[in-house]
Amino acid sequence: MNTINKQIIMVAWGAILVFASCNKYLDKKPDKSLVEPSTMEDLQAILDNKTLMNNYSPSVDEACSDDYYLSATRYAGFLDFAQKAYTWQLDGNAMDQAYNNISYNEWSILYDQINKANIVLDNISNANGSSNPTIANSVHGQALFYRGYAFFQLVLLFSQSYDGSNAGSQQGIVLKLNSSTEYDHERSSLSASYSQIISDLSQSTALLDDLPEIVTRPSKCAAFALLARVYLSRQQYDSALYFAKESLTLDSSLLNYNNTSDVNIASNTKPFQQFNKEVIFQKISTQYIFPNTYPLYCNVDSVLYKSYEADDLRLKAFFWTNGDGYSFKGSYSGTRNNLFKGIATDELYLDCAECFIRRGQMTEGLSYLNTLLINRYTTGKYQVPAFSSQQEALQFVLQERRKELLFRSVRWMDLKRLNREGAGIIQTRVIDGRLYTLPSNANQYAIPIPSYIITQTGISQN
Amino acid sequence: MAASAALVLQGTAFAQAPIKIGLFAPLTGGVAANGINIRDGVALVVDQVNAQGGIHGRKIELLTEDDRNSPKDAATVAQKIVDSGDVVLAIGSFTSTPSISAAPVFASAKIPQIAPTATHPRYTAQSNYQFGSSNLEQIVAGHNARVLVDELHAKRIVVVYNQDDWGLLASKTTGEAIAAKGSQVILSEAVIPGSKDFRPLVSKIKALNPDAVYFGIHYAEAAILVQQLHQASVAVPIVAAETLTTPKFLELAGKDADGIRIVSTFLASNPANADFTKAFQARYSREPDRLAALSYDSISLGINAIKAVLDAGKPLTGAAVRDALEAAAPFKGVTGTTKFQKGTVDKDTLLLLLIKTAANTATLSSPIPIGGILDKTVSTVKNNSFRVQLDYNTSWGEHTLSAIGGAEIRNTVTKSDAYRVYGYNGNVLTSVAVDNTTLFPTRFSSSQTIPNGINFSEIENRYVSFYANAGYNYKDRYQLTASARRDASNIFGVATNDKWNPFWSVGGAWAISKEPFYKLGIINYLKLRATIGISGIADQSRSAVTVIQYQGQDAQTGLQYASIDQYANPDLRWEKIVTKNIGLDFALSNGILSGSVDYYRKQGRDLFGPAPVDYTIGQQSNVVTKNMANSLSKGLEIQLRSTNIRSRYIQWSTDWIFSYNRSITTAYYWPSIDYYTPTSGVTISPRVGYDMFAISAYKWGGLNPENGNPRGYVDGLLSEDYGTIVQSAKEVSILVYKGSSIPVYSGTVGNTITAKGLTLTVYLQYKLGYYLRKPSLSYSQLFDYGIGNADYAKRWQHMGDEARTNVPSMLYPNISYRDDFYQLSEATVIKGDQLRLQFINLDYSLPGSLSLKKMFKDIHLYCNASNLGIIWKANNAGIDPDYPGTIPTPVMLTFGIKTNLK
Repeated sequence: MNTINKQIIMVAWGAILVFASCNKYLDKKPDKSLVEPSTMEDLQAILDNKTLMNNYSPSVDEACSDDYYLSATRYAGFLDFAQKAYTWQLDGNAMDQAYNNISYNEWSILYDQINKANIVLDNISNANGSSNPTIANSVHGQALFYRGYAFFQLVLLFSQSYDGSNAGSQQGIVLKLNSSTEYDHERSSLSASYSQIISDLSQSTALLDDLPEIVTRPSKCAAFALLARVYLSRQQYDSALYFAKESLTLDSSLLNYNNTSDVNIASNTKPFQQFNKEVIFQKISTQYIFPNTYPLYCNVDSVLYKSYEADDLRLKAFFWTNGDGYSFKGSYSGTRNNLFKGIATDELYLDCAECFIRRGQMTEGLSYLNTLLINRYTTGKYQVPAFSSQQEALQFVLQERRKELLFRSVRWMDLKRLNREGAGIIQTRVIDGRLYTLPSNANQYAIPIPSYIITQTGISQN
Repeated sequence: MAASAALVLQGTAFAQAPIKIGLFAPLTGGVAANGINIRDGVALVVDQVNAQGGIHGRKIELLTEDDRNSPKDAATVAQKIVDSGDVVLAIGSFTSTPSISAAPVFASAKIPQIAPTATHPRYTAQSNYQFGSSNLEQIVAGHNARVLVDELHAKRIVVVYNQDDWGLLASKTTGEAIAAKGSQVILSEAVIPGSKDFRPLVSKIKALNPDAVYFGIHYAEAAILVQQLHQASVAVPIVAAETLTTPKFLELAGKDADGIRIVSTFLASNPANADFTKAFQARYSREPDRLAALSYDSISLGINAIKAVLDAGKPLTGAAVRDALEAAAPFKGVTGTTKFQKGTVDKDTLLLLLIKTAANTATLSSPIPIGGILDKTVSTVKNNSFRVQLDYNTSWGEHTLSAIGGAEIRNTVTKSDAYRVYGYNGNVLTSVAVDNTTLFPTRFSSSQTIPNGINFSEIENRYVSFYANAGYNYKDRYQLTASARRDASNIFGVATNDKWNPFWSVGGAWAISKEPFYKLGIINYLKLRATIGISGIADQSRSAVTVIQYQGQDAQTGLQYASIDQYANPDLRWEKIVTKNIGLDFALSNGILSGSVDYYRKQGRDLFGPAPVDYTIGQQSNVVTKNMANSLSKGLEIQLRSTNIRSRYIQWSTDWIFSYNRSITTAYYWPSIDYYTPTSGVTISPRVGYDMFAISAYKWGGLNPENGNPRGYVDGLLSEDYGTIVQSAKEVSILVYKGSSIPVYSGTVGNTITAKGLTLTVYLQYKLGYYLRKPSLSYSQLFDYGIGNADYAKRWQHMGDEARTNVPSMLYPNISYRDDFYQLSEATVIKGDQLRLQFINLDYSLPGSLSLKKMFKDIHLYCNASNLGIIWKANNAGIDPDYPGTIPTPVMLTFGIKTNLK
């Protein structure tokens, strides 16, 4: 009996030892590359996932804009939803068809970016402080920037253009503000959506570094530039001007199209380098859910093409002939087929020119325009234009804006905001002799939300 | 003195006489660019030699003539070269026909002729004065056929050839080489040099729709033909003769040259040829092509031979140079190693070039170096385990109590480091550095960096378990058992408490045959058993916190980046499984039959399953794991052992195992009933009352006889509206329910026969009543990533094919819905039923009389074969249901001796 007791005691000891240590034993990570995000570096690494955070820009906005046209055969080869986007017949079911089975669709990718930003924001207060406090601020600012940018893109896609007198009752977007799987399934008003966007972005300007290490990361310069865009879309030109100028103060570099080191005009595949000096913030399209504006498929709008003068170097830098018409090769992404959708300094020059002219400060406005265009024309060939009226100057600047910022999804925003002020732009397409039009301020300027998202969330359709 | 002085004088005079070498090639006309390259390659060497003082102080004089690629002119210029006197070597011409017509002139004048590029065997057969510096056409044809058939998998091939000796031969030899590989030349058509309109040929090719076209033609015609093919939207892979490596072709064909494949002996950008390329470029301001390289090598061989004659102090004559050429050691030049032997040459360097034009300048470049790609992974696995156990046994009167309790810990560390090198040469262990950061254009997507293949991983899995069992027995008849265990592993991101999976069970048994009242003599052993057990399982993906995974460095930004590995999912509950089992063990008193029968019911609650969510959640997925389902499994398992023959000489017994198991989804907690998509049997099927792991598929309407499109059904009618089909599959009626993805019936039959110390054991296994999805062709995978499937060969190509195949026609650009529909349709569902030979074991027990037996007891020799494969399967798709899409585990043979020391 005595020996049995001894054995029991020994085993009990052994068991206690094993048990006491095993919780610690089980805390060992199975895979070293797995991490609970707990440091600023971890959170930064989530945001540095360029593929998720900077690529996959939407394609439906471009598909519904007027920088391009399709040949009859190309149109015939497209699936139903792409054809419907071309003729502005999209509805919830066509959007279902476009997004079904594609986990990186435009709705999911933007909300994914928002979720990543929310994960960073939810964890940032618990994250171990880096030795350098500015890193913590920068990561915080970057997350706010990404969230604000994605909200803004959603607003541009799925809401009508901002109407200052009525924004409280216009439909905005679902504002998901934390990383939980539970959220309020409701569309906020457009004015609340814009408030959130402006709040995220202006907070970020106080936290971000002036200029980024690399332009895939947000910076103060980029946040100012984006705010300029946000205010332009609200037709608030004084605020837009303020932010555009702030951004240019931090970076005003321009490519000179005369320098082959800046732009290799002759190249048919890669006239521009990626991360070139005009790029403030990198966003590109690496997938085209709507194939309409995949650069090899579509032709550049012929009227737009003809509006470039012979000495305008953009004529050669942006276009190449595909036998049928002209294709676009002027993407700042460094790859012809990946359209650039980010922000570059050229846009801010045009913002300043437009806003100054709208204020009646013609000289200031034209000086921004001239600075840009001198870098676009063959050296010595740019003729400084003279205008008899403010309206004439404004029309000129807006046309230059089209000629400079084509295929960057900027046109979609411009169509919406200019029509809101009464520009009355009517888009037209002709297919098999049949004419399709999109009237100014038409319902289709808010892209329909896919039906299954309506079904699943119960939010209201456009 | 005078005599020697005279000798010196004479020697000097002799030394100053130049060495004359003739060169003839087409310098004007349709292939002039080729002739000029030949001339320049030769002139480069001659100038280099002359600049260094010539050979033995004698300069080389090159007599250059234009033969305009005409056999008639070639004979004339050959005679002109011979007539100029003292010529000891001739180089030329470009193609075989003029080379052949010049051959008799040189042979009769005893002047050796080296044709840098003539590939016709008739040329070297002319006399022993003819030398060729290119691979003979038969060798070239073999390489081209390899590319066409082995790499492009072309079955039906069109050959286009130049209307001359070379072209005819190229067509003939290539055709033979293609046929030898089991493919077919469906059209062989000559092209008359100088033609410009190939539209009749193009429409023929278009109508035939071949898998590939071989170009045995020169650059001028090839450039026009490829352009006219593309204008007619004929996008067929093209393999071309080496002659098209000339930059002139790329200049004329431009972007249309993209994608043409060429087997070549020379590439200017090959680092091994840097000296030659640099010298050629410096002299002529252009890149050398293969012809320049071949003629460079030809003249170098000739000059070496001349030098050998002079070194040996022999008089320099054409005949002496010929002998020296024949005797020359293998020469390593810029087109590989050349050794003349009886008119054949086999170059050792062969490169497969794929033409890819850059912006405006058409050049051949190869960012991935020529040579092998070596992927190397070094991995180590380390296992440790530790176990303590306490056994306790006691008895009093008719009571027996036994118990064990213990704990076990285990860990497994798997470490692996992988890397990749390019341009690997296993013979000399060298590799070439590549540019991993620049984006290069790719054929299918837009651009890509060269993957570096670097991957480090270290996985450490740890397990801890505690267990206790106790058994109580009364009178050897009544038995009670209880057991409990807890297991845990180091799942990451899970709260400590949730790492533990508990399990407990209680049971009882009654040995009926030991009761005094038991009288049934024929069954001498009978025991009734019953158990009930409950276990709880926490899902691996049940994560209390968000977990990220570092992905390494981004190639373009140089930043470390991470992706989300698991999203926090704190709402999950444990899965609970209740198992009830009742069983009967028995044995017949004559020993002929014994065995057991078990029936069980397994109820699952809160099982994990995919729950639909909307994309607004931001996890780029429309499903998350939740506690979704309840299930009920019923099963029956019968094990029998029968002794069929039991005699002194032979014993034969059979083990039978039969099991039946069917698991049904009894509840699915998703409020909306319209959540149905085709299932692949991997996750729980949401259809209540049907198999829990089931295959369901879109109803299949065959291929459209007009265009080979797959067809499904919408509202009961045949439809190719894949979008609608996929959408309306929410309705149960659109989906065809096929059945369980897990075998409903399975078991083994094992026979053991023993005679005279020899024992043969054969086990068969069967699985019945289930379905699986076969791997199928996805055009999006094929176009986007180059991942194919053997079904490609079975695809619909012509009207009528729909009778023999279900594989849709190839459509470009691809429609992804069409692919999705086909892959999830009935066409890719096959029956899994099968019978396989599990293993055969032959054992020989050495007889007792052997002297070895003094030291050893029980000496066995045995031989075992396992993984023997399938005997019968229900599907006729040629797919082993246990290994769909993978290579079956190879047959394993074991031979052995087993013994024990006395």
